[in-house]
Amino acid sequence: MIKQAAYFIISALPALAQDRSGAESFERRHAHMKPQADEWKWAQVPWMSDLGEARKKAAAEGKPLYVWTMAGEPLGQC
Amino acid sequence: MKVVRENFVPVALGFLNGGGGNSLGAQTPSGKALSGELREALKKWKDLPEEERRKVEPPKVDPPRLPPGGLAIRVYMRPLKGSPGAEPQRISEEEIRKNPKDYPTWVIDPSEKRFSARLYAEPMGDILWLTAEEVQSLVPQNPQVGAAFAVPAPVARRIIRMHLKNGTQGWLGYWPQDHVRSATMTLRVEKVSPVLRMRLEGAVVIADQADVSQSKIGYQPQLSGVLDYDPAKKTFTRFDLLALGDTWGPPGDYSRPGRNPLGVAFELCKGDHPMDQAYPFALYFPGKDAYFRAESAK
Repeated sequence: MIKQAAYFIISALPALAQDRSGAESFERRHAHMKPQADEWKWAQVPWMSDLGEARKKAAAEGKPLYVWTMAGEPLGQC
Repeated sequence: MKVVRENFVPVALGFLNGGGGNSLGAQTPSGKALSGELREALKKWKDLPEEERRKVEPPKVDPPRLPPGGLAIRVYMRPLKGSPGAEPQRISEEEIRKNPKDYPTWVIDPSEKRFSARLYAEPMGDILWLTAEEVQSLVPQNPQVGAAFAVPAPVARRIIRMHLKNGTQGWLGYWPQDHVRSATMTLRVEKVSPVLRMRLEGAVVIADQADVSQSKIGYQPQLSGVLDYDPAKKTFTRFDLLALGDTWGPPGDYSRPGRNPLGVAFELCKGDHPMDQAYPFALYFPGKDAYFRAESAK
């Protein structure tokens, strides 16, 4: 019984290790694609995207708007 | 950036929410332009009468909204550097300047103000939207560990045709249906409690020719991913997906020469980043109907 359990554990180890390695590889690669700390500096500005809401906020706070327009969608394809 | 953060209400607009061409500038809440550099515009603002500064003109726009109960997912497209047998690497501005022949000519063109080498090396973003019905279609009833099922066609088609794009060259577009040569996208249940975890695996071949070796434009990624669904919250709490493989074309100076690795990563919008307010580019082109019925877009 003990031998059988040991055999089962030992035979499963490579698959478990492979699963873990695969999962770690996925996490690393996925993180690799995302913006890094020194990238996407535009995101340091708290951009809004609803012009109506932005105008209301500007009037309420007594500030002008700073408007960035772009072909496409600036908060992504910039 | 500090001047903008402290003195202005910053707003970013695309084609569908009030924007148009490429511009940066100050405006009053009624939409009147305040010309000049930032400090000059601020002076003009302060010189306006109080009444003018408080006047709000509602814009005549109807921006796209995430369908009720739907899911918004970030998409990052990153150009990578590959070498045989090695893990694809991120590229840098320095790498582009050292090896300009490996990159589109316009990336290092000094007259190109919008899209410099530094920006080219960074990922391009987009947003994927799923409807409430599509979200539910990803959740198996009575899930069993080890069970596998194909990602439902409407979701798979949207991901493949509208989002597995090489947006790093400045324009997204979408893949025609007949360019999708083969596609598998499978979810396998890994655990069912306390959250339902599913692993996604797949492979896609997109090419303008049936003989992929002869095709002039395409993308051939392997897919992997992890999706967590919280039955108590009745929502996905993780939607990590990665497409990684070679892309090529279209021919011409605008593209990177040859075949090069491209990574496309997806993750849930968490509401803590400006990009979470964005809409999918494909809502503009090819348009809303084609986006939500990707099988009908030619």
